[in-house]
Amino acid sequence: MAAPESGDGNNGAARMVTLISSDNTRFEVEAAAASLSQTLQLTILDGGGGGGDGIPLPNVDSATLSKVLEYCIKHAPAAANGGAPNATAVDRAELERFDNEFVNIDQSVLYSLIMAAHNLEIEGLQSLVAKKVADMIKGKSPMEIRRTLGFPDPTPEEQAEMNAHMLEYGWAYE
Amino acid sequence: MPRVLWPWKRKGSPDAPSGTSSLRSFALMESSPVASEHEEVHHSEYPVLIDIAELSQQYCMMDDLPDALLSEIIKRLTRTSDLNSLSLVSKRLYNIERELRDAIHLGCGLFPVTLAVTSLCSRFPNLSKVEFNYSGWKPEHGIQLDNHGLHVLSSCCQ
Repeated sequence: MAAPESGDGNNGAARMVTLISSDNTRFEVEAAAASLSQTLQLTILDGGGGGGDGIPLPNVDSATLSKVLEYCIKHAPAAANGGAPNATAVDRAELERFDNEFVNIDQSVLYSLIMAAHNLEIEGLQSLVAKKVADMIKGKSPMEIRRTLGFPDPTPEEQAEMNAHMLEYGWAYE
Repeated sequence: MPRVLWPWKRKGSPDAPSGTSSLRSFALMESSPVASEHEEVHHSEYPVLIDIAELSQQYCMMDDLPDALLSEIIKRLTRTSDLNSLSLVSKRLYNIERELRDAIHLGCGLFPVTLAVTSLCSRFPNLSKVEFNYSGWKPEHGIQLDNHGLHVLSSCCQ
């Protein structure tokens, strides 16, 4: 859960910004990586987040933010290339491998991540997690989906309602 | 080892942590070196509370997501059978899914067809494509979509 250390040895080449999680952990990252967030990009373009000031993110805790930034740092070079039209096949394969590994995590973290991606408007990350959750649903029965995604079993009333629904709409489930 | 409290217990969740993977990982984290470190540093009666309070912020279930994000997930399901299964998981998913469904395929089994079409259009208000496939029709299927049926269908269109 440690914050990435500031780039003291980066010869001042890349502009750094500081982000502050809901539990007051400070994260120093390259502005280019943080700018994958549409929300942060505006603040950063206005010159915010540098020096002693940080950008407070009251909706994102430190564990989630460090994961979000891991994604941003990995994807920043490709994003700077304008969606990387010139990227080599090797680069693209490497990013894909990273993405697959990246979402191979506990479900509750996936949901925290997609919430953060939504709040910070990081489209690629939101889409990556949505696809992962959709993949967890595919090919399963309603009961299996409930078990997999941690939904409670239907109450007898809900079950009765569902049975009535199936009587009316059963044909739509062919 | 300090006792584990579950301040994030949710409605509908079991009292004790059970089978789900997320709960298991909580148990693992609770017994990790980080927890025992806190135990030494704080000398508090409830040393783990701090860790769990932090962790509880992260703990999130699919049902906690706003409608917009559930829609994003549902939009990535393309097979009708997956959509049908998902819509029977919870009332909320049912309602989000029915708003999103834009195409439906129908066979010969609908009788009386006008009634079925009406109820179909009220369930899926945003359909842009309704496909009828009458191959394999037999007399016992009854009369399918005729002029009156088409009229009913068109009156459901906005």
